[in-house]
Amino acid sequence: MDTLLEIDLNTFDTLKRDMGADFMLEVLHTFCEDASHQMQIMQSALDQGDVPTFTRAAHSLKSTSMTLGALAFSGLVSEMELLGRQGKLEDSREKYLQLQGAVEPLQQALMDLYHASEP
Amino acid sequence: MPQSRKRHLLVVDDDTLNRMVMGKYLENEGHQVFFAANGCEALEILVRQPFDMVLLDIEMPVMDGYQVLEQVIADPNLRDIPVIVTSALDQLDSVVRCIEMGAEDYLTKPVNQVLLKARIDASLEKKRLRDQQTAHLLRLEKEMEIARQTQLSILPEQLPKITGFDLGAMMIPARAVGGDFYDVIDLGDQQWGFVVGDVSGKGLPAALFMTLTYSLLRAEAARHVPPGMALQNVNRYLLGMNSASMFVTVLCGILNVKTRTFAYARAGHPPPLVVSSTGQVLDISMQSSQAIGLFDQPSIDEHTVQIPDQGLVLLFSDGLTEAADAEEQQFGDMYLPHFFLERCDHQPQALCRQLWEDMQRHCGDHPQQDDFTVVAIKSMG
Repeated sequence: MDTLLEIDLNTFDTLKRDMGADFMLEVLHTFCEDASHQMQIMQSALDQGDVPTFTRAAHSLKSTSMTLGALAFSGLVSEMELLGRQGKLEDSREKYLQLQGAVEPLQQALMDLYHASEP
Repeated sequence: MPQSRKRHLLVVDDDTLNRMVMGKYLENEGHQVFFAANGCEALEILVRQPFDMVLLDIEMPVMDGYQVLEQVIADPNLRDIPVIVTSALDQLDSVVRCIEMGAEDYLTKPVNQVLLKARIDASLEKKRLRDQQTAHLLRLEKEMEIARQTQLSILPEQLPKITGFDLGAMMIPARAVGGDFYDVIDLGDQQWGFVVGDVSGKGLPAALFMTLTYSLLRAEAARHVPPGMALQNVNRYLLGMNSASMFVTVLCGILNVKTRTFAYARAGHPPPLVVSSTGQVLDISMQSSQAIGLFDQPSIDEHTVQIPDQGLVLLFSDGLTEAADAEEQQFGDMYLPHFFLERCDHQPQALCRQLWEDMQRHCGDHPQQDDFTVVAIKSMG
């Protein structure tokens, strides 16, 4: 679980520098909203056995979390995306639960990191 | 490469965060950025205003990147816009597919700003050069069209009415402009000058040399110089101005309405065909001759032929006789000796048109290699 909250500082700091502090905050808020939304979509798709929707949501979450430097989290979502592409939706239930437990702490960790590195 | 105006870039991605980050990077580089959240939106925006580049995500709902790329490439108004596909590192197969479909380049997500700048600058520079090339080609095409109109305007707009004779003429250049020409000049005292010429080569250089030769021959005609001497005089002038070593074959002759004779001089040009009223091609004697523009004293073949009653004289360039089909069979050898037998009652202009159509039919899909010129002088007496 703790591993899933690890954030690559180089990626995060570079992004914050390039985006500027104010815009980075907007980016983080967008991620928080979007991550929760994608998790809901994945949950619903899992329940309904909707492989394409599950895979697309996983693809999206993989991409955005990687952009912020949440590499382990992104890696786990990537595995779920792959399972989705292979049509093995049931195999990703356990991983989904792992992810579910990590989303909110990750969002908090990102905000904490943002404020910790505020000039 | 400094840009004089902000480049308009369209970012197509279904993820808000990806659009934000990519957009910010691009704005940092001084570009004006527009956004679309899926393929349909992208195509709607693309047809509304011009763009310098599209950054296209592959996996999107509603319409994915492949479908967008397919439509962009198929649309003549959009296909010159460079498309850079953006994808996750584990989607390289998709990237390869997009490059094969016509994408300019690719970037992996998350995007690295330095790499993004390098790829975009390179693609924009390639686009700038392509745009420059297209504009240059358009300008050349426009100039060629003006040259074509100018060249056509020096050919007789209307063939003159000559008592006892009916005339027909046609010139179809193989390219926009050609090296063939013909002319009909009133020499007074019921005499008419006829000229058919063929400059070596084709295209613009041949057309320029053709107008030069045409003007010189006109000047000789105005001085009532006999055909053979006119060709020698023009040859002398051409030698003094011919740094490109071009040459021209010419046949010029005088139709004497009173005697119904055609006295011609020939410089390397095919001899005229003299056809009886029944469509038989008559034998005429000929000697060798040389084109003008190359030698100090080219040999000129001079003859006078009697035009048969209801018969005709056909002047032409080798674009008629040497027109070949896919098996290299020449139209002149196969059809010309018999062409007139069934068409002896045709009017000269209809005859010219028929020659062009038959020649095209003979050549089939084989493209026209040389300018086509015919002038028909038919005796009505």
